Amino acid sequence: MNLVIKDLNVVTKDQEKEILKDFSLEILPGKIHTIMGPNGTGKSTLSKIIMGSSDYEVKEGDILYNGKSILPLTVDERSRLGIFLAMQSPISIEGVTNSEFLRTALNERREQPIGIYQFMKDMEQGMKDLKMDSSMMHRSINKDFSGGERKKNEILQLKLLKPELIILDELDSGLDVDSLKIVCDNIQEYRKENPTCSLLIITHYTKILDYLIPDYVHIMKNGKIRKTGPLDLAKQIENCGFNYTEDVSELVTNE
Amino acid sequence: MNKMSENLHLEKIVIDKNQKLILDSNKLDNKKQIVIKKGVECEIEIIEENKKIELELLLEENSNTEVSIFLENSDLTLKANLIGRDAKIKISYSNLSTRDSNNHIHIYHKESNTRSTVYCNGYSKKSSSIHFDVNGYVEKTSKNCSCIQDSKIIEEEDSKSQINPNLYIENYDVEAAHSAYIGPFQKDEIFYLESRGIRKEKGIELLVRAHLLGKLKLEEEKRSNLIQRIEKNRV
Repeated sequence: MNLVIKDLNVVTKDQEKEILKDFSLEILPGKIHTIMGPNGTGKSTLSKIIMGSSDYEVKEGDILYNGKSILPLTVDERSRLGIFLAMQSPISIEGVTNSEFLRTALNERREQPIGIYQFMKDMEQGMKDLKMDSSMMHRSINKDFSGGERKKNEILQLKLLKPELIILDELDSGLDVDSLKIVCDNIQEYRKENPTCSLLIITHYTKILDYLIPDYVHIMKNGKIRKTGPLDLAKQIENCGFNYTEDVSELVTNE
Repeated sequence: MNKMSENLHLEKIVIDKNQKLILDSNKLDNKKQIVIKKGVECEIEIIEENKKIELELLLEENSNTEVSIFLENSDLTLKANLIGRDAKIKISYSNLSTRDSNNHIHIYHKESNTRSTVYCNGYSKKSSSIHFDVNGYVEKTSKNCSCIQDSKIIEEEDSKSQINPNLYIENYDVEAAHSAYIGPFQKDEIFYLESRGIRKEKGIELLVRAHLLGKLKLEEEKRSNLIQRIEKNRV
């Protein structure tokens, strides 16, 4: 999977706020990219824009998925194409069970509906891998789930829906150290089985990068990538803060 | 308030042991009064269409009642009198309407330590409207009561639905709350479903089903039948 964001200019739907300005980024096949940046710089918004949220309007530029523009596609079409956004704060929907939701999502991708036996087997295995209580299968989506359970539920969906581009929006928030390791192990396992799958990690902290070691770290500020480097860059940010990037010349590169 | 209840001349059902009471059309052909005796745990289920239903519940001391009602193109008047200490009631009412529907729910806390929770969920279509009047009354002598209401009407098309949530509280030592919403489904709910590859129309179908059936305590077979009815009405 290859995703290219080219000179993207995005505003909020009401046209009042500029979110991204001449934003460019390339996510390479099978690679792990990380975006770090101060609060309010547009990192989470970027993930929603890639997913196609109607809260934002692309004024200029393009997003190419394997060479084709996804801007004309709806949110569900982008998802079925292979993009998965693990959300920072997954919402709860009372009355729709996890199993009903996931089965519907799977069937939307298939010509023939998945058999109930196969589905249950896959879901049970996924929950076991993530050390989730099996009762969560029949509970409403994220209803009364803890922050950690919600994040695990996102990764369960990922495992079943089998995307090619995974965006993790602050996966580490709300997860204790043990749970973080479990979800990261599951993501790594998935990547082993799907070596062309790419990962975009949006985070404030470097702990998650101990488990999912990035090939590229991008520093984002004021709606733009300001610097790109290896894992060391994240460590420097951790030690010196985001102002560190102001002292170096802009470097926006990909191989 | 007591007198008004007594003058209704309702047909009476007395529940004196733990049980589930399913009220069908035959049992609902006139006004009905149901007495839940002291200490009894009871579930009441009503699924009907094209009916005008009037129901009065009398809850005695330490009784616990859970009511699940699904009505299609119908009107409901429900009065619950919590006449014994520690009586508890949870009402989950779902209304599917393609015509105007008027609904009045009154909860009277006549004793201390009584608890009520009322969920009213409506889905209106084709220029129909749903009216929910939900009234909670806590008398001056009723201490430490809880009176909670939550009403939501989903409209896909323009209509004139209305929710009137009222709390008439005469005691200071009370937990009381109400919320009311009329409008379409939240954008973030639809976005979440779409972000997993579910088409918007299919997502709304799931949300309507959840909205109308999520709170009701029903057997799987009845739930499946209602899903079909809901879909038929949405098309």
